[in-house]
Amino acid sequence: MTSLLEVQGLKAWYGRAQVLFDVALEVKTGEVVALLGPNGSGKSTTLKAIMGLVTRSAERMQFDGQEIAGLAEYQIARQGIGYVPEDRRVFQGLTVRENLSVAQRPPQNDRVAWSLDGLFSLFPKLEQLYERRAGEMSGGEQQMLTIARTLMGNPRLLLLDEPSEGLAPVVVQQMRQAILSLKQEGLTVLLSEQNPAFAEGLIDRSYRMDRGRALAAGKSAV
Amino acid sequence: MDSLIIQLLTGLASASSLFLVASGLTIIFGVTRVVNFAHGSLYMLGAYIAVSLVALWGGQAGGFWLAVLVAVLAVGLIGGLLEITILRRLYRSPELFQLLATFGVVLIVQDVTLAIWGPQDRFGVRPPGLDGAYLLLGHRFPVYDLFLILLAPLVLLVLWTLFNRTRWGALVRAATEDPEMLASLGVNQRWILTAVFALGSLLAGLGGALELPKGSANLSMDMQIIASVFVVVVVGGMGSILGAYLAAVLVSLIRTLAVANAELSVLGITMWQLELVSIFIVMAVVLVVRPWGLLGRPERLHKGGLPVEATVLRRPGLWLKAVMALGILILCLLPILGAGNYSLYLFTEMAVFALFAASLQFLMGLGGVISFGHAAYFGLGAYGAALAFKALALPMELALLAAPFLAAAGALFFGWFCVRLSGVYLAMLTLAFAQITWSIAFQWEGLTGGDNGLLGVWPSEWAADSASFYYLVLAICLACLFLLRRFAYAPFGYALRAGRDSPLGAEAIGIDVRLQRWLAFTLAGVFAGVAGGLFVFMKGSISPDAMAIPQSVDALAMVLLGGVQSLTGPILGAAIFTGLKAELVSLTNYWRLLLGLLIVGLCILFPRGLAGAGREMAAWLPGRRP
Repeated sequence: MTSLLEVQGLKAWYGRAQVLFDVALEVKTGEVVALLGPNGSGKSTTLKAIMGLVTRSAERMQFDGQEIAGLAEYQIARQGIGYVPEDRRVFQGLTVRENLSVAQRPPQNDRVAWSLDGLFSLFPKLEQLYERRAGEMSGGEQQMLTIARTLMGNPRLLLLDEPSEGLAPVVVQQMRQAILSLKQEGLTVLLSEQNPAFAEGLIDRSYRMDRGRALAAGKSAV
Repeated sequence: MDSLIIQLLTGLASASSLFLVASGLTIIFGVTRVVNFAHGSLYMLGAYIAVSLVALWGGQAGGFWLAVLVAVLAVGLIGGLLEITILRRLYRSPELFQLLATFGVVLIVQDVTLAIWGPQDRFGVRPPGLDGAYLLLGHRFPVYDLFLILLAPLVLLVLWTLFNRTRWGALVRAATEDPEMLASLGVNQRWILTAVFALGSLLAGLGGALELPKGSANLSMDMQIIASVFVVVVVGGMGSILGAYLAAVLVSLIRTLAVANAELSVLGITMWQLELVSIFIVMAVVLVVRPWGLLGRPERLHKGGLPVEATVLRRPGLWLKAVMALGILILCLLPILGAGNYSLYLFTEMAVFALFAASLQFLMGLGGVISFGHAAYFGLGAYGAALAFKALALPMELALLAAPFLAAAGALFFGWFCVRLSGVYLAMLTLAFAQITWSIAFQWEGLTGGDNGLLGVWPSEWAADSASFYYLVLAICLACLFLLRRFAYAPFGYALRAGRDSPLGAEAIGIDVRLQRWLAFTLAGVFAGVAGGLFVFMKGSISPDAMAIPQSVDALAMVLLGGVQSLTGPILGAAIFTGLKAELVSLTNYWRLLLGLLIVGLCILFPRGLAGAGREMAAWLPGRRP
C-alpha cells in the first residue's frame, strides 16, 4: 500500500504554549487509523494541525507525495483532505440542503463523486430533514450532517475528530456503522477517539498520544 | 389629513436611499464584522461619480441610467479594492483597528474628492422621464419620489433572494457563521468577503447616485449620512436587511414629520429643534428595549470575542519610572528652556488630549467598554466650563470646576443605559448619545450659540500668558493622570479588569460588573470633562465640533496608536497624534489625505499599537522571559 499521508516532526502551538512535540505518523491508502489517548493529549490538535487550523511547523507533511505544510486550509481541503471537527460546527442557520451545497466540490482523478442518494443511504435521517435548519437538529443528526457535508467535497482522506463524543449510545452505533461502510468503500480515514471500544474492530492501526507526542504505532487492533 | 399622507409618502421616499446605504453597511457588518466608517464616503463617491457621468451622458433617459449604472459599479469596484488592500490585512487584528483604518479611508476620500471635484456643491438633475409630478390629493408629488418608494422594496426582494435562494448566498451565510469551518471545506472565503464588501459598497454608491436628483453632491455628505446610517443599521439589528428597511422607514418618517411640522412646539421645544435629536432618541429607546435592534440577533461571542484582549497590566519597572520622571522634568522645564509660544501651545494641546485619551483608555482598556462617543463628555466639560464662564459669569477657576460636573452628569445618565449592553451595540449607543449631545449643542442656539458656539472664553489674567497657562494645564493633567493610575492599580481597577476578562466569572465571585462599569464610565466622563474644560480656555471658544464624530474617533486613534493595553500608551499616542496633525495641517491643505494614509499605514504595520509593538520588540530582547 502506498502512503497517503506522511507527517514528521509536527509541532503546534496555542499562542505561546507548545502543545505538539515532534508528532510523526503515517496513513496508507485505504487504512483506518486512530489516534487514541486521554483528554488533552493532542489528538484533536494533530488533526487541526494537519488541516492548517493551528499555528504549526513540520519537518515533513506530505499528502499523496505533495508537501502541504505551507498551504492555507482551503488549499489543503482542495488537495483532497476532508475534516470533520469534534464540536460538529454545522452551519446552524443553513438548511441541511444548504450545508451540503456549500461543501460541494468535484472529485479528483476520475473518482466517482458522492451523490445525495449515496449520502442518504449512509445517513437516512438526513433525507427526512433535508429542508430543516441545521440549528434545529439533535446532536446526533448534526454529527451525521458534518460527516455528510465533508463527504460532499469528495475527499480522499477523511480526518474525523472524536466521532462518538457526546452522542447517545444508539447513535454511536449508527456512527460506527457509517464509518465501517466508508471503510468498505475504500475511503482512507484518520480519526481521533477517546473510547477504545468504539475503535475496536473499526480500525487497522492506532497511535497512542500522550502529552503532545504520538508515542508508538500501536499494533493492529483488529 | 391629506397633507399627512403626502408627508408620509415623502418620508417613504427619503427612506429609500437611506435604506440602500444602510443595507450595504448591514451586509458588510453582518459578514465581516467590520464597522465601516468609510461607508458614507462610498455613498459620497457614488453621488460625485454619478454627477460627472450624468453631465456627460445624461441628456436622455438611457444615458442617465447608464451613468448611474457605471457610477454604481465603480463604487463597488472601489469598495472591493479597499477590502483587498486594507481590510483583508486587518481581519486578524482587534476589531477596533479595522474601524480606525476605515476612518483613515474617510479622511483620504474627503481630500481625494476635494481634489477631483473641488469645494463647490454639484447639483443633480432629475432623470429624463421621471422629472414630472403627479397631482395627488391636491398636492404635487414628484414622480421620482414614487420611483424611489417602489425601488426600495424591490432591492430588498433582490437581496433577500440573493442571500436565501442562491448557493452564493448560502456560502455568504456560512462564512458569516464560521469562516474557518467553511475554509476547511475547501472554500476560499477571502473572496467571499471581498465580494460582500464590494456588494455593500455598490449599494452605498447606488444610494448616493439616486439621492443626487433630489439634492446635491457635497463634501459633507459622508459624515452627514454615516450617523443616520449607523442609527438605521443598529435599530434594525446589525446584519438584518429587512430590519434595515423597517428602521430606515421609521427614522425617515419621524424626521419628515419633524421637518414638516417644524414650527409646532411641545413643552417650549419646537419640532425643528428636535429634528436631529429625534432619530438618536429613537435609537436609544430601541436599544434599551431591544438591545439587539428590531430584527437583530444577540451577538455570539466568537473566538477572541472579547472587545479588548485580556492582558496583564504590569507595573512599570525601574527604567520606565526613571524615563517617566525625566519626561515630566523636561516638560516642567520647557518654558525655562526657552520654548516659544507656538510650541508651548502645542504641548498644552498634547497634555489636554493626553488626559482625554487616557480617560478613554481607562474605560476601554481596563473596563472593556468600547466607546465611539467619548467626545460627548469632552464636549460637555467644555460647554460646562464655557457656560459657567459666559452665562453665569464665573471666573476661570470656578468654571474649570464646573466642567467635570456637567460631564459627570452626562456620563452618569448615559452610562446607566450603555452598561446594559455589550460589544458593538454598546459602542453604537455611546455614539448615539454623543450625537444627541452634539445635536443639542447644535440646535439649542439660545444657550449654546448653535453652530457658531461660544466665543471669548479666555483664562484669568494670571494664567493668560502661554507659559502660565501651560503650567496650569500640565499640573491639572498630571494630577488627573496620576489619579487614573491609582484607580487602575486599586481594587476597583482589579474588579474592572476581572469584569472585562470574564464577566460571568466576576459576577460569580460577587463583583457587580455593571456597577463597576457604570462607575468607570462616569469616571472616564469626569476626566474627559476636565480635559474639555481646559480645552475651551486654551482655544478661547467652543463649537459643536468638539463633540462631533471625528473628535471621538481622534480619541480612539490616540488610544489605539499608543496601545489600548498600557497606561502610558494613550499619553504617547495623544502626543504623537496631536503633534502629527498640527505638523500636517501647517504643511499642506491636503492634511486629511496624509493623516488618513498615516492612520491606515499604522493600523496595518502595528496591529497592536505603537506601545504594543515596542513591547513585542522588548520581548525579543535577550535576557527577558518570553
